[in-house]
Amino acid sequence: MIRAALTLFLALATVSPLWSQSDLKKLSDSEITAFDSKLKSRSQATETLIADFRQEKSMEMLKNKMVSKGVFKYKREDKIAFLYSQPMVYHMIINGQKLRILSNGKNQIIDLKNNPVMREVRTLIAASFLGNLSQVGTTYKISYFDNKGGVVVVVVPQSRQLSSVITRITIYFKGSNAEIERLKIEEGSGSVTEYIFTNQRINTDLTDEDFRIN
Amino acid sequence: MRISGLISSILLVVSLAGCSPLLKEGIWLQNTPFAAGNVPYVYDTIPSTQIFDFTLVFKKSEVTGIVIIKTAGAGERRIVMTSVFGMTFLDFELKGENIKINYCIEQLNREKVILLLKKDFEILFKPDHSKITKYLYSSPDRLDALEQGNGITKTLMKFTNYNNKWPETIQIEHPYLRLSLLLKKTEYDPESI
Repeated sequence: MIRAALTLFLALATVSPLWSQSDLKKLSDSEITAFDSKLKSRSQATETLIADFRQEKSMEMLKNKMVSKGVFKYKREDKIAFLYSQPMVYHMIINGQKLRILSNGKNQIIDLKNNPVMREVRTLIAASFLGNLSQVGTTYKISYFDNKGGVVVVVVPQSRQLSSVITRITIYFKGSNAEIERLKIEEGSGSVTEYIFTNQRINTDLTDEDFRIN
Repeated sequence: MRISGLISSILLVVSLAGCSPLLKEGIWLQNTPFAAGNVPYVYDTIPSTQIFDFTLVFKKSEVTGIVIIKTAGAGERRIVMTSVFGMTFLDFELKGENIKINYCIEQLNREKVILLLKKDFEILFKPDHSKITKYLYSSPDRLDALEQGNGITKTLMKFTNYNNKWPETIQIEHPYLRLSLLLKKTEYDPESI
């Protein structure tokens, strides 16, 4: 009897993460419209944003997550920077169509035209901050879910080229003010990378110089 | 016309053959104390997970990221190359002489590229991989460099920043392909993952 109960408990414990994820309630059309409107008004009030971020990469071969940390910067409409400080210094700055990587003291500039994956990541991050997620086009299937008062937006790429690299992007918004709390990227490789944003400050004095490419 | 063509070919062959060896001070395997085996290893065989930052340079293009190497046992390893931002480029397993690709992005999925990487890691894990190898060593238990192969397949490896028996910086070069891979022990704590 105890063994049966234990087996049932273990089975439930194993299944529950999948079960709880699919148990999220889909938003109705009117709820989606209300959320989009909240997102839009937040984005219209957001010229710049600075946040601390924690990146957690989970891989089947690793016991624990690989964690890195840094500062995230955004300036509307198309300027994004991930400035890693731990465990190493690594800067990834996107400004329009250009991506600048600073690694080991060396600068590298990449045209996003030649990097479809980073181009799409930029499009989705910018769309999340600009409040026009529902207008990113037919290249994605977008679903909205209620998450204990917050909103979860699940984005599934439809193009074969992109979906072989990224299978799903999940964006977690705070219910009260549509602030992005977490971004989860699931890859074709089976790895999952999460970016958790904390200590968010909007409209601080970020300038174009913070996103300088050349 | 034919004579001038022939002369050009000869000059090309001579100039290639006349290239000074990359490992000037090295000694061929058969002339080293390692001829009967016991070439010092440059990578630990004990089951563990090691993480390196990598810089892959091909001609003028450069890609940086992280390599995670998980050793399951002798001759059995899993190697994953990812970007710092998190995207996985390549995930493969080496077991004996076999390779199993778990994942590879489309841009990298070329047989020649994969086989070159396979060979590089095989040499790294087993420096006496081939008899046609020249070694440079500062003491009998420490390799500083090795050179393997000829012509376009020539591979040069340098091992520096030794810490506790193992090099923390590994430079792999294919000079005629203008391709190099630099591995540097990362700041990530392998115990934490």
